[in-house]
Amino acid sequence: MFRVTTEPLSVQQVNDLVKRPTDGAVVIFDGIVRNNFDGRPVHYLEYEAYAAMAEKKLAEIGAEVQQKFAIGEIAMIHRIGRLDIGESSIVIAVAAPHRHAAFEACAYAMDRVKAEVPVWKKEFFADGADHWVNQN
Amino acid sequence: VTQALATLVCQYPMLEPYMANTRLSLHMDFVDPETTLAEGDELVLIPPVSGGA
Repeated sequence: MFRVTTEPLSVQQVNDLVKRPTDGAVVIFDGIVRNNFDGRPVHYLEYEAYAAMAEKKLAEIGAEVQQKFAIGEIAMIHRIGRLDIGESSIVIAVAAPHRHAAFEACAYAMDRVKAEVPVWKKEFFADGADHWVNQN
Repeated sequence: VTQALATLVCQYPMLEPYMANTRLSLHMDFVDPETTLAEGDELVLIPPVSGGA
């Protein structure tokens, strides 16, 4: 499942989406809103997305990852809207018969998401300032 | 696409400084500036993405 949602994410739910009896491993990446940006205190974040394209890109990345690694199911859910410190912004779950493929596929999928999925993060600092994060 | 962007930047010069970092999308896929637009196509400007965590 590949989705963009405003609802809080549940790691357990995403885990359950991918697990099958033939899989010996599920690797989960749980992306968390951090309380600072290079040491500057962050109050909260806002994520915006071009949601239709973001879901399409997530699905394409999922298919690419399944081609590249010996894995079973993969699910990626990205949350958008206002997120407070400690909340999950993205959960990626990869199930595989064996652990190595699941670890590698999960890390690879996350790198691809950061590069290709039209989602934007705005940081609101404790001192009242804000900025769009530009990772280029 | 190149032509459409030139027209756009001409009308909205404030976009100019951002164009070097802007990617282009058509029908929810990234496209090159050399792509030819058809009547009714919706060209989307994608600023640097910063999703994930």
